[in-house]
Amino acid sequence: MSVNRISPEDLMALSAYLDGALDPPERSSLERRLATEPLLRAELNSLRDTVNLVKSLPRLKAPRDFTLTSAMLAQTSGGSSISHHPKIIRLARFNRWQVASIATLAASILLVFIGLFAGFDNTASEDMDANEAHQESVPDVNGEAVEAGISKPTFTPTLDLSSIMRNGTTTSASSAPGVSDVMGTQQPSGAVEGGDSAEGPAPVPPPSQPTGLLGDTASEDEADDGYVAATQTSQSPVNPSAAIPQTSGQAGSAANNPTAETMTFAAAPTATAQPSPATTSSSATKVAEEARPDDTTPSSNEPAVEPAPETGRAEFDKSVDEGEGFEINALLVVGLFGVIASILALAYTWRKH
Amino acid sequence: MTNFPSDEKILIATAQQGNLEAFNGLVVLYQDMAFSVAYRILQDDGMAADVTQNAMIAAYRKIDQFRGDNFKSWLMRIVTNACYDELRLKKRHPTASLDDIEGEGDGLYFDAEDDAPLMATIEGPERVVERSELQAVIENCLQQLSASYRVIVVLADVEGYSYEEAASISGISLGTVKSRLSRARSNLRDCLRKKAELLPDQYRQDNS
Repeated sequence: MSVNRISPEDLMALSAYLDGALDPPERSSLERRLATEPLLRAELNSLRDTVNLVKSLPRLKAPRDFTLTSAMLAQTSGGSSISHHPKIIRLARFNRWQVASIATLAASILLVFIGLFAGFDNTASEDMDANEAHQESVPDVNGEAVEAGISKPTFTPTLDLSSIMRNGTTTSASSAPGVSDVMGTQQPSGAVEGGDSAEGPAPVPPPSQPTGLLGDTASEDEADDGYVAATQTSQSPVNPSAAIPQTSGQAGSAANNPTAETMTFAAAPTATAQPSPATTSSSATKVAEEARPDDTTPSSNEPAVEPAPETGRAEFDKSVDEGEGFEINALLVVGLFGVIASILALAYTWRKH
Repeated sequence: MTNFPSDEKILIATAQQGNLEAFNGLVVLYQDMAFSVAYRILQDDGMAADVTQNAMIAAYRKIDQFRGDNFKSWLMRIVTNACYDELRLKKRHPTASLDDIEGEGDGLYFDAEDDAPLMATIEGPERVVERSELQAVIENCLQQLSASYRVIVVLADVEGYSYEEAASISGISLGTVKSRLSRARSNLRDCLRKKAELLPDQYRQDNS
């Protein structure tokens, strides 16, 4: 019979021809052969009849409704296709864990950001104030002192290197007198500086603050940039007595003063004493905006004699540093911990998945 | 039926939000087709009903993964896969391994022995398929095809899916669809020829 002489290729061509699935060249080629090959034609006809018969099969009616009930969905077992169900359920459970991990991650990141931005002027300025920031800010004040012609010796004796090293994050105890001295001796420039740099350090701390928190490795560049920025953006919104554009100019030139590189530890005492008012008072101006009325009260704790508002602010800042700053540090640590933990959890679930 | 597609879209969108009633609307729309395909692939009423029910449950659980505009093909793919699973699980016949189901071999008479009592079960009290003698012959020949051939014939010829749709539903390539369909038709033709005395006159004349 013809069946045995039809090649699989011809069979496929005939089958596709029935469905109109041949390319035009293939179709015309096949049609030419069909005209001359009766066996091929007979094959095509029998295939066509077969297909027509199969297509005549009616669509069956479902023997019952296959609509779902919640009870049906609740029971995970049953049926022949049981293999589907555990897979789906397991998938859902994984998704739930992953959702939980992602939520934890988001919450932790939020916590970190809260710690960062709430502790903005407190923690950050504190760290700068207490540690490397001393040396970074040295050129600022030092240069300013040079340019302003203010005498350094007045406050130099009150500080030494060991006090800097020992103080760590809280400089209040030993440096406060120095600060007050500084404030007292160079009050004009100090006042201006506090007002001018009020906007400066605010943006600065975020970059330097975490590093100070984590490893006390604040880079000098950051601090320098911060002070340059501070002088550039000097608008003195806080300081009412800051009608002194030329001193802000001094601060700017001081920040860029090349003496920064030449600073040594020997000069540090003078430096540490001076930058303290610069940084603390500047940050304090922000914090103390609402605390202004109390300006006079903190000064009672101060050994310093000067009634300058900046001293009050500096003092206020320190009290804030010791209390609230610590909480914010804890917030940050907890947040970072959460971030790490949730990332680990996510990695675990995904790997397992 | 004129606004059927938009109705379907609404039902799908609502079902994707977890609405069981909306999904049941889709079930009602497609249960005949799903059962029909399952029955013709499995050749067993009870198995086809089980598979259809489980496929609907599976479809409900992952309907949020459905993208695109061809819900019918998507659902039929679930039904077809469920049929494959059923064949793997239920058929303890040595030839019912996955390779044989998916394979391209010449195993034309898949499970012929096991399927022999099939007609008896169909004729039982729960019989849902009224069939003429001719239809019974065609079904019988369908049942003697290997499962991999039968799936393609059911999709392409019985249900009228295009080659592309059949390939997508059954998870095989377009070329394999063409090849399997041509061989399946040829095998069906041979089977029908053997039962030529039951066939319409026209068919017998063509092949006499």
